[in-house]
Amino acid sequence: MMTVVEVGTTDELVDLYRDHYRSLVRLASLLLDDVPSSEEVVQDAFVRVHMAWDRITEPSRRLAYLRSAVLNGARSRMRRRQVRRRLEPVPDRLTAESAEAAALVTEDHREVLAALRGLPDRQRECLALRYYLDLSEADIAATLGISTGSVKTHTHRGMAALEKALEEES
Amino acid sequence: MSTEDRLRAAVTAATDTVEPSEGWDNIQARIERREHQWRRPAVVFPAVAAVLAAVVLAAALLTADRGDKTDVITEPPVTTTPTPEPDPEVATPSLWPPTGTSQSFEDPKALALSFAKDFLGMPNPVIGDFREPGEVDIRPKPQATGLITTLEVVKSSVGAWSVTEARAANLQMDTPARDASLTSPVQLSGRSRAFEATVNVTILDAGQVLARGPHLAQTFFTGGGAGAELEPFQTTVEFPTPTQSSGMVVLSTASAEDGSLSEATVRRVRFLTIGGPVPESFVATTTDGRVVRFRTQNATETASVAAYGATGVSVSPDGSLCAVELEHESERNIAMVRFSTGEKEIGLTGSHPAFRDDSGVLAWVRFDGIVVYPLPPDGERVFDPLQGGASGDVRSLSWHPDRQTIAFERDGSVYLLDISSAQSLDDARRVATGSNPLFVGSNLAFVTSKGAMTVDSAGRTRLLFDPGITVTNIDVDASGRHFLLVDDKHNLFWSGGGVIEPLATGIVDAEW
Repeated sequence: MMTVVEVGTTDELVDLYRDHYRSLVRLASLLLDDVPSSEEVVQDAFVRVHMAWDRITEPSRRLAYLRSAVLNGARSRMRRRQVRRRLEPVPDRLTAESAEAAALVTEDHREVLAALRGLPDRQRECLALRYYLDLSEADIAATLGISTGSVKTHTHRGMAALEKALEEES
Repeated sequence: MSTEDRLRAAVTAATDTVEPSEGWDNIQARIERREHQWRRPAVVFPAVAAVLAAVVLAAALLTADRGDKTDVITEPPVTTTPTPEPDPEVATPSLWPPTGTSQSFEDPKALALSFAKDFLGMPNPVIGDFREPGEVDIRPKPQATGLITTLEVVKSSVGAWSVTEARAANLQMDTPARDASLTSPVQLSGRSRAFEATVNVTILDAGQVLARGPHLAQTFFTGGGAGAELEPFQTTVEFPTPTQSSGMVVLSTASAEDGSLSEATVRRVRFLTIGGPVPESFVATTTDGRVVRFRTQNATETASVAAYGATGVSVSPDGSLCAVELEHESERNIAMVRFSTGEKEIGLTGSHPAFRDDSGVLAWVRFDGIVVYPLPPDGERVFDPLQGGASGDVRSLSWHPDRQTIAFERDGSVYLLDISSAQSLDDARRVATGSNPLFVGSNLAFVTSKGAMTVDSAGRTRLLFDPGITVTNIDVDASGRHFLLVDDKHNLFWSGGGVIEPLATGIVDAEW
């Protein structure tokens, strides 16, 4: 009995969705600070991984591809947003946070997150992958398509920059 | 507090507040929309379709020589340590939680409770302890001590539990086996013992639950009585065309007191007949030189015409006429056979006949190139024979639904030919290395060493299936879902929702 790949795709995609959708939206929200946009970015990434399915046969690479698509999506969304802000100033928060959420995220958290979002792309992404998804250096490298050496450098510089930004803040 | 700790705390706090809403439907809709876009354009806007076809050609040409790296998205260079081949048995699809929901269970007992209540509809279930390697017993209510359904549960690599099968001791299902591919009617067999001697049989599409409708099909049979030994049963159930490629077969009994569910055996199965009915019959040429119409259900012959040396076959879209390729002392001819009379009506010189979807036009390969004639072929030809090079090696013609483009195979490559503009066979455009081109809707499919591939409008290749057999002939039905495949050993297979099943042997070519 031989499996028809086309049909199998959806089942495996469903598994990916079930296992990773929530954490990926959360990852995107770290970078974007806007849940609806984060959901869109992640849904986009799922459509993309489905399109690329047949080229990526190794399941572990599919997840790396998916993560990478989320980061790419978040990055371009941020750029568009920055451009828009430059053209027409809009309130800093695109979505109002719920009272509950506001209570859980303290002022200190807010400062740290703002500093994180202010970092250069690679540094921010390395820190998010490491401190939210707890990925190993090898997995971060696979996700970002860079060497583990670069991951070390970006992470190190990111932490240093974050520290500096927080010191200036206080 | 170090910056690292502050970062970790901030990240945890911020992400904990994010609870995404259900996104699967959106994803699925967008994927379907994408696929729909290049599957059916010809039906709606012929002009758009023509442009699109040109895009297919251009994109396919651009990408044909670059292998599979044809996506618009830049794929990151990925450096992963080699991982062991995944064990296919591990990836057993689950019955519960249903795929496509964000429901996730970190505890097998919580999973069992949800399955008992939400899937089976037990009013007040009692959940037993988890047993290694993966079993949990459930009972419909505290006092029902004799009614035990055992759930087989597995844990995914990320720690989420799911139910893979449910088995009631009093309801043993021998067939269908797990993940067997079903067509309607399906025969069920096993042994049972039921208090009221009534066993309910329910067939569910993936996503449906036993607790409430809709169900794909529901019936019952009379099983062995209470207290007695398990008694063998055998019953046949018909079901309508499923919408999903998988589903479940459920045997269950209900309480005599209140009609609530007592116990159930639930098994996952696949459906071969997704998305539309399978054509009732197909026509094939056999190794003993006959043209035979077979009933799809069990490959039994319904009509047969002797045609010495029959090799290829093309069935007219209305099913009345067959163009049969006959080979005799290395000379090839085409005979038109009408099944209703068994008579060979017209003889043509040439080979590889292919009916266009308006029945009245036939394309085939003649000594002087590809020719296209209305039928009977004494009418005016549709266009002049396309010459250029030897036409003897041209084979496997297939019409695009636009009625303008013909795909064919030549020297191990797939070509597309626009008959409205081409001056010669050399105007055909090579699109890929492969054989047996076939239009699935307006998508071009063909066979390569890797299996059957399609090229979509963006020029991406996509594996349709990896048959693990050497395909020599292939055909697809009008729904684009059900394939007939002939291998180099004259075995005929068919494929629908998820698997390829052997159908007959001694077959040279076959068409729906």
